[in-house]
Amino acid sequence: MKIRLICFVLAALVLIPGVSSAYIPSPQYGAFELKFGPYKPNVDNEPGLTSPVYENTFDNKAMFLTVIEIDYQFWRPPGMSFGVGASVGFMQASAKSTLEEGGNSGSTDTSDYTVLNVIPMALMFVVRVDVLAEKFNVPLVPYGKIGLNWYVWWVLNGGGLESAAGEDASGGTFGWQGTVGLAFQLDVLDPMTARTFDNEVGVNHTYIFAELMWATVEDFGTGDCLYLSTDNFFGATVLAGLAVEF
Amino acid sequence: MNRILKIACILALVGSVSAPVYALQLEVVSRSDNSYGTKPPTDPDDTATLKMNLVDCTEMTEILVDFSITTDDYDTTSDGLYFFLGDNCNTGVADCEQVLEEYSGTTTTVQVSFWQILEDVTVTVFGIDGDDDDLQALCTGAATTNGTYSLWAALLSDEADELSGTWSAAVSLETDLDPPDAPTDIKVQIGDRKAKVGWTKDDIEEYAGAYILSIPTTSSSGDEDAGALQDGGSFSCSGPFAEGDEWDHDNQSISDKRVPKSGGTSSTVQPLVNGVTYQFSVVSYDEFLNDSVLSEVVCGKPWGTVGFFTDYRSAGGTGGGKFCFVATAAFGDYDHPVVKVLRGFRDEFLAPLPGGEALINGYYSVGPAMARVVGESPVLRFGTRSVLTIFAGVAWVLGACGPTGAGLGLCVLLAFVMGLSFSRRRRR
Repeated sequence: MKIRLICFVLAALVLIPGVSSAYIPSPQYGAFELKFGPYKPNVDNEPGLTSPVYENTFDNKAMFLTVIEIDYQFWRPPGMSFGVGASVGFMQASAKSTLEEGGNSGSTDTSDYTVLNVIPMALMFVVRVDVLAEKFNVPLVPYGKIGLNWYVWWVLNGGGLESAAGEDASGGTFGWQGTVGLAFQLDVLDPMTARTFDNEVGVNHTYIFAELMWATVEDFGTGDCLYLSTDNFFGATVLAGLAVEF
Repeated sequence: MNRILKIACILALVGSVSAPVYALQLEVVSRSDNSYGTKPPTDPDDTATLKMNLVDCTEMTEILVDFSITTDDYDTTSDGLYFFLGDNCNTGVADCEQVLEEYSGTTTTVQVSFWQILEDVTVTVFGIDGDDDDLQALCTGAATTNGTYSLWAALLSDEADELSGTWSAAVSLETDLDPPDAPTDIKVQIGDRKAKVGWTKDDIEEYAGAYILSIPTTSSSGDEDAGALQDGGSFSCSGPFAEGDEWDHDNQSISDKRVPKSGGTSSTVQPLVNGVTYQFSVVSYDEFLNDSVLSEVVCGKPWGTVGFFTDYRSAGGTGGGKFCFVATAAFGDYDHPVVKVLRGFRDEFLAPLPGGEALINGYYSVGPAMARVVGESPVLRFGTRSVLTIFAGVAWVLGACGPTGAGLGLCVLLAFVMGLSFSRRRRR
C-alpha cells in the first residue's frame, strides 16, 4: 500500500511539471505597482533656515505616501528584465494654523489648517532579476531602480492657497532617486489561478514587495527650492505594495 | 352634537342599503409657511401625512386639504360633504369630532386651520371650553396635545329613502409641540474670517439638528482682555444673546447656519469679519423643527492665521512663489486660440469637477518651472506647441461634451478597448 502511495506521489510530481510545460504564458510587456509608505521630507535641512519650520508646524511627522508606477520592459533577457518606468504619487501633511500677530494672544488653537501637499513624480530605469523565480522556483525577485524626479508641492491655509510677501505657496523641486527592493511572487500560492489570470486577463505575475527608496529632491543643490528629500531611515524610506507584470 | 348623532344613524344604515359607489379622495396639497419658516419636513410623495409644530400651533398655520369626488351622482343639493377628526371615523363617528360645517361649496379645495382642529379636539378631549387663552396655554406647554390626528372626509346622501355614505382615506395630522433641550458644552475655535463652533447633543431627545446663531457685538471688551481665553480663542462677553432666551427670528442681525444631524456636532461659520467680536449660540431642533432656547453663549474674534509657508518664508526659506502658464510660454501669446481653448477647458470643464480646483492649484505649482524650461528652448517650445495643439483638440471635444458626456464616452471607449483586448486573447 505504501509503495502504491509513493508511486502515486512520484507520478504526480512528474506529471504536474508536464502540465506546467504545456502552459504558454502570454507576452510580457511591463509592470504596474501600487505602493504605500511613510515619507518624512528634509524641509528643515534647507541651508539658511533659521528655525526648523517643518518640525515646528507638523511636529516632524512623516506624511503618508501613495504611489502608482507603470513600467515598460523593453528588454527581457533570460532571468532579467530591463525597463523604463514612470510614477506619480500623493502625500500631505496637515496641522493647525497659528494666529497672526495681534490676534487673541494666548490662544493656542484655531479652526484653520495649514496643509502641505506634494505630488512626487519620477522617471526611472528599472532592472528586475527574476531568474530565481523562473529557473529555480524560488519566488523572490530582487530589483533596482534609478531615475530623476520632480516633486510638485503647494500649501493651503484655511482652505485656500497660502501666500507670503506676495508670492504664492507652490512650486516644484527636481531631484533624483534610487530604489532597491524585493518582491515575493504570489503565483506560487495558487499556480492554477495565476495561470488562469494570465490566460484571461494577461497578468503574468503578481507580487507583494517592499523597497527602500532614497530620494534627493533639492534641485541638485541649485537652491531656491523647498527641500523634499527622504529623511526617514538613514536618508531612505520604506515603501510596500502590490505589483503585477503584464 | 345632534348633527353628529344624525350622521351616526345614517351611517348605521349604510351597510344595509345598496348605494351608489362614490370614490372620495382626500389629500394634502399644500400648507402655508409659518413665520419662522420652520415647516416640518413632509414626504412630498406622502399626501396623507402632515406634520405640525409649536410655531404652527401658536401662529394658527393653515393647511390646504384638497378633495375630489369621482362620481357623476354627486348632487350638491341633496348630498352632504362632512369632515371628521378621530380614529376610524369611517366605522362610527361616536368618538369623532366634526370639523367645519357641512361643506356645500363648489371648489374642491377646503382650508382647515390647525387652530380649528386643535380647538375641536381640546373641547372634547380635555374638557376645555376652547377660548383663546386656554388654547394658547396648550400650544406653549401641554405635552398632551402631541400625537396623531386623522382627518376624514365623508360624502353622505339622504335622498328619498336612499341613504348612502362614502368615506375617504384618512389624512394624518401629526403634532409635536415640545421643543427639545438646548445643546451644551459650546466650543468656539476662531480662524481667518471664520469660526468653528462645536456642541454636545448627547442628552437631547428627538435631536434632528441644530442652528448655529452668530451676531456681531458692539462690546469692545470682554473676558478676552482679562486673559480668560479658552482653547480656540473664545471668551465670554456681553451682547444681544443670553442663555435660555428664545431665538428672535425677527432680529435681522442674527445669522444662522443649519446643521442637520447627519452633519455632526460642529461646523464652521463664515464669512465673518476679522477683528469683530461675535457672540455664538446653538439652538437644537427636533424632527418637527421645534426650536430649543439658546444654549450657553460663547464669544470669539476671528483673526488672520499663519500657515506653514509663511513660517517657512519667515525662517528664510526660498522655495515657491513661481507662477506662469506653460501654454503661454510655448505659444508666446496669452490670446493665442490654443491657449484660449486650454483656458476654457480649465475653467469650464476641470474646475467644476470634484478635486478640479485642487488639480488646477497643482498645475499652478507645476507651471512656473515647466514654463521656464520650455520658454528657454526653441526645440521644447516646438514640441510643447505640438502636444498642446493635439491636447487642445481633445479639450475642445471634452468641453463640448461636458464632464458627464465625457465620462460616459470614456466608459464606452474603455469597455470597447477591454472587449477588444479580451476578444483577441480568447482567439489566441
